[in-house]
Amino acid sequence: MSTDTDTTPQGAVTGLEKRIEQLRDGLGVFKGDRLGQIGIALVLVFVFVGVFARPITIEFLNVTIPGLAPHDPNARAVGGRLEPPSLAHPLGTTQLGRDVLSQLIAGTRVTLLVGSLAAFMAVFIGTNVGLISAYYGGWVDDVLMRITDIVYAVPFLPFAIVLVAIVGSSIVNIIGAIVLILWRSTARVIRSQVLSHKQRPYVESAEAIGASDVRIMYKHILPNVLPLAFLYAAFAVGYAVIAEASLSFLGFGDPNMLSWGEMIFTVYTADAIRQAWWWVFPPGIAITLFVMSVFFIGRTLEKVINPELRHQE
Amino acid sequence: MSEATGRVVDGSETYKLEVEDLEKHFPVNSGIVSRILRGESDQAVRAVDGVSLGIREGEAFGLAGESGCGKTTLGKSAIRLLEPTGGKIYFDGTEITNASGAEINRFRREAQIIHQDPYQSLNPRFTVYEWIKEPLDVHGIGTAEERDARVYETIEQAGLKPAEAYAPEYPSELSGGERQRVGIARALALEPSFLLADEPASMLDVSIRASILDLFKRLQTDLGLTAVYISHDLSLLKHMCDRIGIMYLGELVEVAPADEIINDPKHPYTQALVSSVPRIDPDEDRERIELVGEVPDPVDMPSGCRFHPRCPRIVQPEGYDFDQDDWRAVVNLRRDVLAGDVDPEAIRRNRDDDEASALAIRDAYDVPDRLADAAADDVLDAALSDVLAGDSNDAADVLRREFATPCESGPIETHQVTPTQEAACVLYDEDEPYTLE
Repeated sequence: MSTDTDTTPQGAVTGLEKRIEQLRDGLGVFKGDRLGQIGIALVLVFVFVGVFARPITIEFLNVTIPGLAPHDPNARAVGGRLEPPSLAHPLGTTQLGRDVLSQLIAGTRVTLLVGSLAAFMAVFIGTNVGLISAYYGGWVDDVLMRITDIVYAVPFLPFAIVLVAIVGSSIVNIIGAIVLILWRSTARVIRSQVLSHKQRPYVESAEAIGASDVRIMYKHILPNVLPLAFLYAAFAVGYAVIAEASLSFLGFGDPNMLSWGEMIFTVYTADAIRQAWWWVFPPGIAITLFVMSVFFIGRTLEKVINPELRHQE
Repeated sequence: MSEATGRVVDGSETYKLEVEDLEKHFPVNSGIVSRILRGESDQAVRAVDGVSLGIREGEAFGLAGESGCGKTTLGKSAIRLLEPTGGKIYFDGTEITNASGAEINRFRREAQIIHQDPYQSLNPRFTVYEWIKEPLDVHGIGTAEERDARVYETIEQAGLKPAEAYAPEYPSELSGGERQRVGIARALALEPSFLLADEPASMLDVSIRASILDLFKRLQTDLGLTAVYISHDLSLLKHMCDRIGIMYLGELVEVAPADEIINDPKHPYTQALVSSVPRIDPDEDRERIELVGEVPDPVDMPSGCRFHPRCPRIVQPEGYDFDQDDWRAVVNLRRDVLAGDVDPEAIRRNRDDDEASALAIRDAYDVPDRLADAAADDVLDAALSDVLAGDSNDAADVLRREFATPCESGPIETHQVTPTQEAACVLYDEDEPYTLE
């Protein structure tokens, strides 16, 4: 709030320490929760693989970090056609002689990108809609919630197919289609939470000192409903990845971006789905594992929001 | 705001905060579905219904009344935390009823509130430091260092020492009393001139209550605050306040200096309220006034004086002479006859009689078998015969006409009973004196 940064008031510093402590307490729910730990470990592995999938050149230092993928995922005929797994190609090759392992590793990036971006944007929109709708109430609430109702009535796949068919299938459009559908559940849940928080005396306490609507919404109420938004973000990542895979499998994926769903689509169109198990299983298992791990994390985060769950074990 | 001198009323009194005919009605059934199904509803809970009141500069004013009488709504409407549905509000002589923007901001700096529940009124995500500093940030007061210093100063002022130890704590780490002090510190941070304390001690442990109230008293003298305390606890208000206002069902029924309210209450409701306060002295001879019936539904208010359905001193009809207790009983019976609620058959079944009788009905309402006034008894007898004959409308007509009381009709004026004491009761109407005993 204040303009000067060189003088840090004492309370602010200790406040930051407190905040870190609070965060550590929040992460404490993962302690003793095996599934949550597995989820975190898996997601970390996926993130690592996704980040270092391809060589990264830092021009400034003039170094190149080698990528994890042993081959260029798009290079044809690095091996024979439809070769089963071997030492040279641990997950075999595709119909065009591409290395499946390299494709799988490269596909992690798209999955992470779509999952995190779509989830973040969907939860961002949903949280704002829910917050504004509940805080202002009246006709604002009516309008926003009727829009949410309409979005609730739209089935995802037909909507996404039509949208992508019209605006073209690029990764941006796919993320856009996912976000346009995914924000609705967050909006509803955040709205109900804000409705309850709006009635609490601390909000009146903020009104009494003359705090503006924006300040009350974003400085007072939002921090109290944010844990719920995080939970929905975790679940949204899973949904977004599944949605992207479905779209790609149906052939509406970004042709320039190799994703796991797209890999299965290629197997399918190459008519190799019955014989090239080494080509089908890896992306399928990767999607399953990633979505599972995200849901495990979400399940654990739920205990932060609903402490009663901690006693039910 | 220091140059403002307050609104001069009758050339003599200046008020810090004044409300005129303040009204706060909460609409019932405003949902879209019920609006469509039942049409626009004009029903409303009349939480505050036409209250006029002036708080003098520097005084401690107490608002008392039973739960749900609208005292909190009145307080919050008066400082614009709730939007009043009618009436006017003046602060330091300036009308702020419809103030907005910079004007309401200036007012927010001057008037602060202490909430009832210290467990709910602090934001759990703010540290003590951030919570107390926020008002200073909102109003952009001073430099960062000045704000910092002011925060620690107010923490200590509110009795939390050492301030450095409390500043980084979250509310969840504090006790109820400490939280209430944090709430007080936040209210004081802006150096307000007016404080509304809404049941400031009711949620606290008795052992802490006294120290919090002492803190209020000290702050009020030290800082020269004008304060309004809302409470249902008359003995607390007597201890804290210069003047007390008593509310009943959204209306102010009596306003008087604290001592006079306690020692010589004028309004029958105040008398009942005061008589219900426990006294320590067991030898003290005191008549306890028991009220009959329940508080009416604030959606469907009684006409005339809102207290008349329960008032033990309800005024008798002209031309009749009842014993006051009998008259109270007759009024209860009359009310049910007017509403068509008297069912002789049900009374007979309850008493296991062979036949429904007028005596049984009288007995059910504690009306004696014969009233002292023969004329009144004849009227009642005729009405009860009608009821027994199944002719409730005739009975209602007779009773409505013959036993009309001034308490149930028309607006009730507020009368100046003594130079300092005013009460809204027809008993003190000088133009039409009603016998009190």
